[in-house]
Amino acid sequence: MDDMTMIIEMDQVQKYYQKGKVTIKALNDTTLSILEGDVLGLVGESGSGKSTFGKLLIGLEHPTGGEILYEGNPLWKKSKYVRRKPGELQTVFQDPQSSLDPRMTIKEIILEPLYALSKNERKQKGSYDHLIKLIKRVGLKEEYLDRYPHEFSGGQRQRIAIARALITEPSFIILDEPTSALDVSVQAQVLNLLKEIKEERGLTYLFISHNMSVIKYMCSKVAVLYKGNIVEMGETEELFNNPQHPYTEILLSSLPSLIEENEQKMKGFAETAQSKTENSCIFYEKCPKRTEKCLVGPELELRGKDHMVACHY
Amino acid sequence: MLEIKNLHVNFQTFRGTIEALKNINLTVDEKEVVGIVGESGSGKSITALSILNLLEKNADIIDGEISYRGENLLTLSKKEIQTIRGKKIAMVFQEPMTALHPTMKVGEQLSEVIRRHRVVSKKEAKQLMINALKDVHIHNPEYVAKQYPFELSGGMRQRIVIALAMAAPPDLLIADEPTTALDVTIQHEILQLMKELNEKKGTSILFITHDLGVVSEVCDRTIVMYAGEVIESGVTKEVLYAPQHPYTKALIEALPDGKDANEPLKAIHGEVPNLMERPAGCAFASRCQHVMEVCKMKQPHLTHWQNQHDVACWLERDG
Amino acid sequence: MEVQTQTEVQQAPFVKRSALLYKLKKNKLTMVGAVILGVIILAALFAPLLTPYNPNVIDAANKFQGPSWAHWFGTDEVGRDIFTRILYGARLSLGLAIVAIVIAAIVGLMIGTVSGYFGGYIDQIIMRTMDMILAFPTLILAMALAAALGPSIQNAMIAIAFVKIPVYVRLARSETLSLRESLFVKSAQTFGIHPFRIIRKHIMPNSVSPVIIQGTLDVGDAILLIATLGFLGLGAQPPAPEWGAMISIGWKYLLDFWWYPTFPCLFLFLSAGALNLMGDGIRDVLDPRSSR
Repeated sequence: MDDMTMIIEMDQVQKYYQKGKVTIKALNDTTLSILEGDVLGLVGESGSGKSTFGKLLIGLEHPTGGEILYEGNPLWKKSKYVRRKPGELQTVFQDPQSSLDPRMTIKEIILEPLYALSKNERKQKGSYDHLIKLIKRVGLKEEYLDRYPHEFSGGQRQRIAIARALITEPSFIILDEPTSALDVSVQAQVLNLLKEIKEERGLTYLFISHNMSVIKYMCSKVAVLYKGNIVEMGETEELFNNPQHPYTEILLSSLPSLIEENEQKMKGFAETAQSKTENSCIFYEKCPKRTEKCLVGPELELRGKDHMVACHY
Repeated sequence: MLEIKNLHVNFQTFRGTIEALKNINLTVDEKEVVGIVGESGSGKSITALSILNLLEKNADIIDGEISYRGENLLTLSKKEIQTIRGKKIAMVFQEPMTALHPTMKVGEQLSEVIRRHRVVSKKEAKQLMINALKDVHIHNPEYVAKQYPFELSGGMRQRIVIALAMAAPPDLLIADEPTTALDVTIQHEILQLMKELNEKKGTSILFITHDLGVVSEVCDRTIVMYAGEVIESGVTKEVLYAPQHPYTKALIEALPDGKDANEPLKAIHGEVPNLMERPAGCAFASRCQHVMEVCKMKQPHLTHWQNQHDVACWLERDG
Repeated sequence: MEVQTQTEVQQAPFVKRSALLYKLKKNKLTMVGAVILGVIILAALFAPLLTPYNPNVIDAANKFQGPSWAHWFGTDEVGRDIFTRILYGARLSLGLAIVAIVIAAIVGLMIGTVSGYFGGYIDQIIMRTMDMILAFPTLILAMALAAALGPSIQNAMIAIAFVKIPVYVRLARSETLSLRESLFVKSAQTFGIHPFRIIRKHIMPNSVSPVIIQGTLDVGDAILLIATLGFLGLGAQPPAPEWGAMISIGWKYLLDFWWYPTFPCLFLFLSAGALNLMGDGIRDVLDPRSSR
């Protein structure tokens, strides 16, 4: 394990928002690392902090506490985002409608990230040959370059967004719900493309999604977030076959799937909500398995190979 | 109970006429849950909206008949349709906020709707309102009744909207992507709730969704739409486990659910055709793996295959 | 149950634009305004073809002639043809008004986008300064400025541009505030490109259309301001054929030679009125709720 390069190391990272007198813990003491070549899936429902997680990495939000290292160097110095190598880290956002500037041509859109690089690099990476190769790789045509985003369908726009992320030849890409806004038939095209590109270029992905099936298909490792806390983390196979945290179990069983005959009983939340206290487990409120012991929250602990769970049971 | 026959709907836009729906035929029987699945642009929402005459002004119903208990809804006056809306046929939308009054407590809204549909005193209405909230599994109805919509979570709001829709109670509930904006765990609860309402109160449900998983969970029968046409329909299990139309097959294949992560997904190449220039033959021909000459020339019609299972495809099939 | 209809019919921008034009055409008063303005602009452009006279050549023998076939609007105290002077004056008034507004819009757009994008202290300082400018009545401030700079037509133009800047700053800033939250600006931020490039390439092009609309609304106002400054002797200086300056001299002769001040006034009224009608039409089309 030591001979693999760490791309991202997060140590006790927090993101708190102050809303009036209430502190909202969007992300709470998160510690994890992403190795080179990993596809780490980040699953959670709305309000779980998964988007915040991505924003901290790309510099849209600054952490309240803790440290994030990118290839061993801190990403944040106080509240200033440091780009050691601009263009190393790129993002593909969920909504391809609004992530492309409506007043720019496709060519301008794709070349835009190069303006963070030095002039030499920009010339080299932005050469016409390079651009054409890239645009063909993502399945678009050369004649599209002079058109505007509104002339394209959602799937095509997402391909444009992927080309834009690749133009700087990054080593790490954050995919923030890249297919949630797309139809099933188009989603499959985009997922295939992302997978192929990862293999070709040896990329590392952080894949943020609420869709367990997509996560299972795409990711090598998964972290499950609940209200800003990682409750379970492990290799995809292991986590899906052997979920340890009650929340993960609920999440997996509530997925409407037509493959597994859905006769198996859905595991539900606790019938009545119990208000949680300062120290209690984050899931105490709704956990079907809670006991007195859970009033003092569990820490993430290792269970089996690389499988971390934050639960007493 | 509800029968749509040969429904054609066109949209007039500045660029031309869009043939949004073409030759739609479907039925919903008593106590049945029918799902309409399709991707964006398939016309599934337009079908739902046309039932209650809620289409926008630029839509023309060219041809067809929508009959509810023998009465053609398309020939009714605005007033007459108003008496059916909400009372006999109710609708639930994707975004619950659009159906809720933002500055009125949810309990009041519910009581008001109950009083509109039934002759009861204010006190009785309040009791009915509390019961209605209990029916949608709200555990502390007295407390929730005093909340404003913005104080509730998305899942709670959708429960309230369902309670509103069930107030009459209606014969038929049309649910247009009611769980798409919700988290999966909440979605599951809402789906269970709708199923339960169907079983307990005998309300038929026409369920519109893009999610095949949701269909398999709640629907008795499934109708698959593509480019404004019904291309396959039948008992849910048969449609999903033994799909006959290449599009339905491909759609199920394209899902990542349970697929081997080392194999690429079988994506459907290409995009939905432009409905302004509908191809002469089958609308799916340009994306179909089994395309034949006849598919490009002549449009297949929905024909009966075997036990309730209808397919619109030229391919030969057994049985 | 109240229900709202939602249909997913995507429309490309150009469709929206043609819809706009269609609505504009349906608004009769707007069309009246457009026709009047069009005629004045054409007449100003083709002035040398429409009249045989030179606006500045003195012909003392023909002074104070009443309207006639030779001199449609009569002549002034030194025998210049008033019709000719009005046409050439239209070039001055319209041209200067447009230039003043364009300057104000460009400067306002730059300041407003920077202010809105960076926020914080920069924003505070800029916006408080703009509030100070707005606290003065436009005309008084323009007069003071024109007087301080020295009476000339260029200075009048600068003064008008200056007093109009805050309007555009506010407009551009509010656009910027919403654009700053848009996903495409956020993604541009994640690339690490320079903030000024983000402003120039992403914010400005997307906030320019409301600025242009406000500009068309303001041209009429600027014409009146130029004439007012001219009338007060703070703008164009005689013998320039500027409407305000002409009225300023002509009003003394109103009782004896009514045509002298009347026709420049009429044209001032017509062009400012036409621009306002058009502006109202545009505003109604863009925002159907406003019934101002």
